[in-house]
Amino acid sequence: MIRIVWIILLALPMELMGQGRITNFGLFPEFQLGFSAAENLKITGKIESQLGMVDKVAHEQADWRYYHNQTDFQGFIGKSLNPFVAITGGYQYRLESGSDNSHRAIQQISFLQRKGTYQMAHRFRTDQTFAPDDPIEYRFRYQVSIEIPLEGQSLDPGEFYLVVSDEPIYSLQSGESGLENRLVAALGHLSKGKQKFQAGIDYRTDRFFDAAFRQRTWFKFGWYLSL
Amino acid sequence: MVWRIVCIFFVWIPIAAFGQEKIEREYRVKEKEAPREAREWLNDAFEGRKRVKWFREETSGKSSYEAKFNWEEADYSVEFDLSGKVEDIEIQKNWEDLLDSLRENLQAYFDENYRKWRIEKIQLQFSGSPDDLEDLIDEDEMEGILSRYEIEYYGEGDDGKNLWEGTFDKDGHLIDKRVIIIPPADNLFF
Repeated sequence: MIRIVWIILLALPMELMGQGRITNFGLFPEFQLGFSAAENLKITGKIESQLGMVDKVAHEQADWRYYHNQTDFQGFIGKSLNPFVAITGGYQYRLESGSDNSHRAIQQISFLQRKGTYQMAHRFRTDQTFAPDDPIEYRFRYQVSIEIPLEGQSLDPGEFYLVVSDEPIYSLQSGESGLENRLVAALGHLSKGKQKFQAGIDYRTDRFFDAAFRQRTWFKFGWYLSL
Repeated sequence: MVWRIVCIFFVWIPIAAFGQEKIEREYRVKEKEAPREAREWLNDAFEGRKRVKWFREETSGKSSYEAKFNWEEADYSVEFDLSGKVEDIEIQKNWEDLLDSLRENLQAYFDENYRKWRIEKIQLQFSGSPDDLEDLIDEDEMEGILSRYEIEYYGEGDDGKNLWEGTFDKDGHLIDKRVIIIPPADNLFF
């Protein structure tokens, strides 16, 4: 089962490279650390980086080169209203190649549903991005995720799981709106000590109503640690 | 110097994290890996049942095998020790399936102890000797059988807002309870 999931995840970017008008592929490592600061209060820090490997515009040769696209440093403070619902506020500082670095304020509410043999998560998020010389960009995002254990009826330490998520994002900047979608499929492992390792494909599409429809595919791999 | 700090940080975190947790694990196994005695007992007691899923369970140093299947339109879970001796039978129930008197007692307990509560899962548990458990399934014979209810519920009370697993006697009186720790789901939210 795990082999089949790997084959699908690794074959997907190759299939996608053949389509679309603007396409890219790269690596997307991330590290996340969460811990409780007080009862029902949780601090989470995260670093994620996008490292491009190939860009391709339709009907042109693929441009293979390694480049740093962006690195995000994020910090969140969240309050659990109960074991299933949390409200969170956060800040992000982005280092971006070829553009000015930016600041982002983030607000979210999240819901966890336990569904017998799998769990489903809903995240509603708003954010505002501030960059020099640019008008503020406002976004509204909804992410739904499903985490399915692959070795039993519940996810226990030492076991693998599959996670699939989709997130449509609506953005508004200077009266112009945009739409983006992020589809993620990954194989994960819950290890001892409340840590998860995940690797999979993050497939992003945007500029749907534009001549330059864009799809970006990242091989995303991460270490998620809760202390 | 900076690299040394980074290295210490990355080496220390996994070590610190590994030391904290009690290991509880349930994972799927093939039917042939389950003890022969367990498979034979299941064949004798539940004739005509459909496909069985076998699991190995390791909880706080105790290991067991568990057979899960659907029989006569109900979800069953039968637990065996490592030698294959049956330990208990659990049947999933809906709130509406319970007797009125049992529901009233449970409701009274929840209303008294929680401002807000919600039942997530109910399992009727039968324990007894292998012969008595087989008679229970074959002949509805309750002699030598101890019946209890394992109820997973969410409750908001003086001891916080938690997900609980409570064990209740056959009349709906609490025997004991423990908080269910939900595995970390931060990877789904950030």
